[in-house]
Amino acid sequence: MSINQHFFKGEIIMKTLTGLFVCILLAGLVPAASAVTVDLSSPQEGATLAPGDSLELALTVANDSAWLDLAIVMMDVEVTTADPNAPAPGNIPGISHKPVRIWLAPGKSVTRSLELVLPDYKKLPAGEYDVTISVEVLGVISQTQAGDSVSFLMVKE
Amino acid sequence: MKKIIYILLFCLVPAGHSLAEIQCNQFEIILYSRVWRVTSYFVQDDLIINPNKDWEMLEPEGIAYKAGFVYASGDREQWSSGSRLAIYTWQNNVLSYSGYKQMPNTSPDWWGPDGLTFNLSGDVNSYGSVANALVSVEADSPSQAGIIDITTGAVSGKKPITLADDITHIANTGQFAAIADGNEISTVTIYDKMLDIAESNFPVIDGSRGIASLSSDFGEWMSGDTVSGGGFLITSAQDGINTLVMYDLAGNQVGPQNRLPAVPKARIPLGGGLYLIYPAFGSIEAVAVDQTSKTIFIGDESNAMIHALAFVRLAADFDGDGDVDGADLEILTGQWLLADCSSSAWCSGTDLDRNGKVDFYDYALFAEYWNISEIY
Repeated sequence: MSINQHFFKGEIIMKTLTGLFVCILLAGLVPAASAVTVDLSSPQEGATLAPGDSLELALTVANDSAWLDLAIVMMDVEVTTADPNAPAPGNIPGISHKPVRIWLAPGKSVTRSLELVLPDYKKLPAGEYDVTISVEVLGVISQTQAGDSVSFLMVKE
Repeated sequence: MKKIIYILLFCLVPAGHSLAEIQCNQFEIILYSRVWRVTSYFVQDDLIINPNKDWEMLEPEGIAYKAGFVYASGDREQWSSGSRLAIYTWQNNVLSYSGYKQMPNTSPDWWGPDGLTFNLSGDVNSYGSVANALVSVEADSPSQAGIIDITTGAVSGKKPITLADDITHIANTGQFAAIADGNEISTVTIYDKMLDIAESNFPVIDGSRGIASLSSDFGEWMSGDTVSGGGFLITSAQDGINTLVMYDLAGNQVGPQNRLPAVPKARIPLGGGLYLIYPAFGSIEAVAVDQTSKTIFIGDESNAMIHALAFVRLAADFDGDGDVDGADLEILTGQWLLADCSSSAWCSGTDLDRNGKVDFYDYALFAEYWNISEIY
């Protein structure tokens, strides 16, 4: 093998490795567009509310994949307190939230309006509570999941 | 790991949640100078057998009524168990889910009809006239008509048909009318009684995808105009605007286009004080009429709802005694110049143009009804 042949072979290996490196780099930079995504927002986020008040919510579920997907949306409401002396109410028991099911065409998103009328929470003592409304979305076809949440303060007298 | 997460998350889905229709709205509207009480039912989950495994959803695109029962269908999805015909009872102005019939759900026979109608002619030489037969159209490619046996869900007598989003049997002539929302224009096509030959057609309001035939008596009662030979009630959903329009058999529009409201919003309870909020009407795709009880059933695809519109009274018959007289005028004057009328009662119904105020426009409308009487 001549020096030229050695040089030529080395150049091919270098080009191949460089190409592979660039591919790996690009693959890391380009997001995998094949999932359901979710956004939960409220114009009252961070506000102080009381039992009986209502909260407006906007839920946007999107399908970034190239296939039709069925999104199963599950909501949850969690009430917590930072007061170390108060009993931790955790998630109020006995409340089950019916899932919302949405067919999503490829690349499409759907926005749904929701309202939370704050229950009386009769078991809770008076005080300040953090209320978090969380959403979990499952893409049945894409086998993906996503979540989001909004929080606000509840004052119970 | 992902599978474990899914199993855990699916366990969060309450397996015992109600699978029956949910009444999510009730309000009154004025159609053709009459008050109708709209009761809306969220039906999306009615067809589910197992909420953790079964992804069937009912988004009504086809609807038919016969003898106290409402039948509803929607597009089937190829990966779902799909192809179910939902059956409801309609008694005492209440819609109740009573089960479903499984139609063929495997390729190439699966069936998720876009339109439904009963042929009650009794004419053996007419398509789908035998007992328990429900005529249906499937707008897939190719579009087909088929006869559903409502006792078994079996589908027979399939035949190709020009694209159709809904179909209705015309009792007076024995023909069928199919409606299709094309790219630029919506069209009603009149077929012969065997659904073989397209005999004529006429254009209708854009976005039309639901059709129900009316007898001439019922059409004239509703519209106050002559509807000789019968007519059609047609639903249109275009750019978020839902409309009901009546046509006669020749394709002439009868009366006004009635725009259906987006408010009051429907509230679908999800539990724990959480509600899904939908417009009063989303995208109306199907219509059926019970002319005996004077009820209009509307299939709403995007809201996954069935709306039942039950006749209440003449719009200006505020006291509901069957006539428009001095007693009604007294009620009108009692509300005179009120400016905070809302959809809950519209100021005892006297805000006839539903603009939130009781003013001379309402008085002018009231005058048009003066001395009219109608036995309910």
